[in-house]
Amino acid sequence: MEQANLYEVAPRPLMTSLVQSQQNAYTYKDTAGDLSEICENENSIDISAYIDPSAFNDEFLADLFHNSSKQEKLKLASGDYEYPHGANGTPGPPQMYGCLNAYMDSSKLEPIYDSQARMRPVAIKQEPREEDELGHSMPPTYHHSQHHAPHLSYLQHQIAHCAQTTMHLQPGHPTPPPTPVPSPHHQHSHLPGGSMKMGDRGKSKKQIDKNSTEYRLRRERNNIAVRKSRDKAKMRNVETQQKVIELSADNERLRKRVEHLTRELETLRGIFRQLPDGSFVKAMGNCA
Amino acid sequence: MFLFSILIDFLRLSPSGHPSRDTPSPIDPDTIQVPVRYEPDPADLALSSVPGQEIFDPRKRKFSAEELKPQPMIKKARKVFIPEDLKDDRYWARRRKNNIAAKRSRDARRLKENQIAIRAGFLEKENAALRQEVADLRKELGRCKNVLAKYEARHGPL
Repeated sequence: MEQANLYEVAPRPLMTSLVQSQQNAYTYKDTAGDLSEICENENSIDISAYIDPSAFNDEFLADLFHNSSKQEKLKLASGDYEYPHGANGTPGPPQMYGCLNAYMDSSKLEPIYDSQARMRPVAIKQEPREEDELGHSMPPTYHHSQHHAPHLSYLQHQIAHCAQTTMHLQPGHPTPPPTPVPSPHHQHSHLPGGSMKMGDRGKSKKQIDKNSTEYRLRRERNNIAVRKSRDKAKMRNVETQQKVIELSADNERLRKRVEHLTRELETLRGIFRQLPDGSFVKAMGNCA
Repeated sequence: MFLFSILIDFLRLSPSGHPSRDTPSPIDPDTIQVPVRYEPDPADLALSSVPGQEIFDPRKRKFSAEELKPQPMIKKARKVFIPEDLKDDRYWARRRKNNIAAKRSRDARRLKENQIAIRAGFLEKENAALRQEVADLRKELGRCKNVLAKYEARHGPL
């Protein structure tokens, strides 16, 4: 999780990754801005803007297409779900790095899909969900899926749900525009027959099929990662705030004690000063 | 006699009529400053400071209890899909305004969080320094009392 700990507090308040995020400030702010713009209910984020165009070769998403191999399954399930590759070659917000890296070497997405989300037998790692104390910040879909049929993997369930909700959740302004003012023609019109994306602003090179299972799969993973990252950051901030409160109180108490002890010392020294020197000097030491 | 009255005062911890023998007047604990060697990373400071205002100083900037409690979550309106033909200029003007406001809000929040983090770091250092100070004072006090005891043993009670 090299990139995820943006605001690590101990031992130093802010790690250099904060500096990195500052260096990526404009991309970070622009894109992450739109990331958080996407409300918790949103299930799809167009991440194609973050994928380096040069990566869209035959290698792209190869791993998704050879998922019958045990190796892939092992790799996916082995717990490097979060950020398989430490290195990151793409520009874009730090939060996006992890999941994308897994796909950089894969083959291009197949345009074939059907209108229903087809559950491919991929090795989907179930993300261990931490205790949800911030229930209010969770999107309804998230909670919803947790209570559903247990025989479906948790992730598959999310995908199913998302596929159904995709239509409704096309926001007017979903994703990172390169320019602040969005252009009137939007790229996210969802055609039921399924189609190539055309006329995308800012990324006309890649046509991505939004209905494919692979796409939804990736979307899901990314969504989960994003939520996890945000939760973690939120917890961290809460903890830090608590720490500040606690430390302030502690410091106040300590200051009072210092004050009290100082007064005591001064009083004692005052006594010593006023004693007759002769007999006292021997016993004096350094006090007076 | 003279000494006796001083000691009485000391033991009673109450001021007498003689100013020279008073215990020192109480110091406002807030003004007590223990030297704390704290050098925050300038990059971190930069991230916590607004360019227009002065650089964030973790020593002075205290956060009130109000500021520190976690932000209440406001329920967001669900996203409603708007068909293209309804996206008129007014719509886009509003979107733009909202986007700018959202960026502003995010930046402010991030700034505040960074500031709090730095303040936490500073408070930790200060905490350690204060503890050290307390330990030193107690040690010193112990020695003085020891001396006093020796004196008393030799010359009888003060």
